[in-house]
Amino acid sequence: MPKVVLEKVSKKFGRITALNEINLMLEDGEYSCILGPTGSGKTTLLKIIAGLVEPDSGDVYIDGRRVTGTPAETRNAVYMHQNYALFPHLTVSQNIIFGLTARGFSEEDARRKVSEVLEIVRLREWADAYPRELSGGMQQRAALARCLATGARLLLLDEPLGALDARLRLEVRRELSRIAEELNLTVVHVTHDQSEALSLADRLILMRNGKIVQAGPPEEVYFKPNSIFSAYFVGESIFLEGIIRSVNGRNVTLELKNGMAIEALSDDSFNMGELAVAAVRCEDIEVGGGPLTGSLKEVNFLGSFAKLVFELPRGLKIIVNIPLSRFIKEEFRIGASFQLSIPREKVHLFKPPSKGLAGEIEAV
Amino acid sequence: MPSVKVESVTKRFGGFTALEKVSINIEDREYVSIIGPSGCGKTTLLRIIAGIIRDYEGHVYVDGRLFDSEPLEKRGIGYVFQNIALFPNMNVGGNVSYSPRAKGLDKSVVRTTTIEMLELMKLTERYYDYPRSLSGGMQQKTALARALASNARLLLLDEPLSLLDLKVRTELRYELRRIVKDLGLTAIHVTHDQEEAMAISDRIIVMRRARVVEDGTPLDLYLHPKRIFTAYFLGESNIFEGNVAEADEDTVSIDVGSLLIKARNTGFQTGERVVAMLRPELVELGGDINARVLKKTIEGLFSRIILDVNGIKIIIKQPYSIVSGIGEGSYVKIRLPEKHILVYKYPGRDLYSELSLY
Repeated sequence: MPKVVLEKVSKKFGRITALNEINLMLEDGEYSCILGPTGSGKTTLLKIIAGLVEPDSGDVYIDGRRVTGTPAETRNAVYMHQNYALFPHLTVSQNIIFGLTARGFSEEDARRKVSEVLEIVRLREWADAYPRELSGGMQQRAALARCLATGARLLLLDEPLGALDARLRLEVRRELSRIAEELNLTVVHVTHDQSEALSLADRLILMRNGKIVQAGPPEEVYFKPNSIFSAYFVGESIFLEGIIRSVNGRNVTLELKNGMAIEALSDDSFNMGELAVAAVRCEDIEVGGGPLTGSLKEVNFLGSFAKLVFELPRGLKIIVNIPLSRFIKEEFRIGASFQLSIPREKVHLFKPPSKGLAGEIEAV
Repeated sequence: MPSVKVESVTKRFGGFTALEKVSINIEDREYVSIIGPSGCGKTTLLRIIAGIIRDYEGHVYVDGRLFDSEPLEKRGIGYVFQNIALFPNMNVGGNVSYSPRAKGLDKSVVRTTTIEMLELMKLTERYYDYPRSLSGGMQQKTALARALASNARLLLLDEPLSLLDLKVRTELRYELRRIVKDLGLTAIHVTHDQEEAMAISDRIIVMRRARVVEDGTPLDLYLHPKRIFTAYFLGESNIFEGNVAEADEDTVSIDVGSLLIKARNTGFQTGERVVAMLRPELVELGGDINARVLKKTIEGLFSRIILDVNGIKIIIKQPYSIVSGIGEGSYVKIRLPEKHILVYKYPGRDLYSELSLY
């Protein structure tokens, strides 16, 4: 069964370090999502598991067998590229059959498999169409069908939903999750879409600059970010810089740059007079009642929620996401002032990054 | 000032109808998004307004002036293509300053405009780089900077943010809206990202199969869609099929199988076949409907929970903190609030084809 282990895997392309001593263990039947900005090394990691790129150092094991240096086709894994090319002169079903017979399936088995996988990706009526007759999204689904048809137990997906319409992406996302579960596949899925990663993954692996920043169940990464970058990239947070003004057991007071103070809980790693960065999820900030006062500058409606941008004294900006049910019940008038509070148990405190806060939370 | 009027435009490519009698009106300084499944005709519509496609039936007016035979370069339109099309032989600075230079603007004006737009897109350090050495996302930002620097009053944007990382995309969309509003531009923005459309637009036009389905403000389309397709396409919704079991002046009771759903009566009779819709965010906890939790996932900001009520699946979305104690397999009580349930006549053909994307 496909269990994947990476040991101290490093890879450079010229002067650029794509992967820097990656250690990783993926369990059999686990759905892992690798999340990270462009250039973080996620695709390289996937290709190394697939055998399409060889690491400079370190080892890859699949099912306990060391596969470093072995050809891709012996790995019982199938890799789906983000711009997966279908053969233009073959129809959708011929594309799938070709992939199967090349792997030694009989013609008859291949045909049965075709209708099965086309059903899964909702392309049954397009079996005899040529790729150029399909929209981009449909081509991607056909490519997914071709991968599923191979029966490989380890599915390596590089932005598999990237080309799909948003509506379809949600549906195919749920389909993927169901298929993976039913067929007991081990899946490694690369994406830069955090909501995709959060909802699909058994294990979320957050990468940056060739390293794993945090890995764990999505709930753990979301609710216990281990770094400023993690709080920034997964979910939406505001970041407040300040100085620790008092420490009383676990209770600390952080004086913000604009002179305001917020309360936080900390382990014992912070001392009086130290600089710190507080990260707070935008949905954890309470509107109505509280020590802070802000004037409402902007309201953005986003369907499931609305984003409210408040301005506090001396240019401090606080973004609050409130649920739809509340948004339609109350009046949020631009220019009006609101009381805000930040519950202390919802504040994540971090040491100030050496490169400054902007360097940590600047999108690449 | 650029208002845009598209009057009964039809466009066929061979036997394929890309647009069928499409009419839209866009006000001066309005930010309008066009959304719809791939192949619905949204890009074709944009290309017709831009003047890239010249051969069509119907008319396009800009500022009340007939544009059908207006040459491309005289339209005063800034266009950002889905597949970018930067000048490969010019560096980033050259691309962005192209239009102001072509207009013969003063050198210092050209330089200030260029730098300003590059700063906005955080591309200043890439001034001397050529397109081929940029990532897709950076090329897209360069194309946006070029369109904004062109001084066009009407911006046509075809998936202008699609190649950017999601995190950058969500940040840049607010910037884009701010610039368009600050400069008093009119923008028509084609996207397949519904959240982007809601965040960025004054108004959204929903298209499907070469036609306009409906249009409205993001809030209106989300809360009070006139068509069941809009409810389905924009965001997520619970959609129930059933028959009106009881109707009086104010309320209807809809029998959807093993559940009776009450809603406000908007003109339905007992026995009529209908479709009821309720947004997952508006399902309330507490109440008298017993539901079993089938699946719970977190989806950026929310928990999405699939519930089973006597064999009927109901999706709810609630803030994490509210449902933290609810696990898969457990039971919860819910209420389907009458005032938030919309009722539609059962569609002519059938529900499946009414909701079909293509």
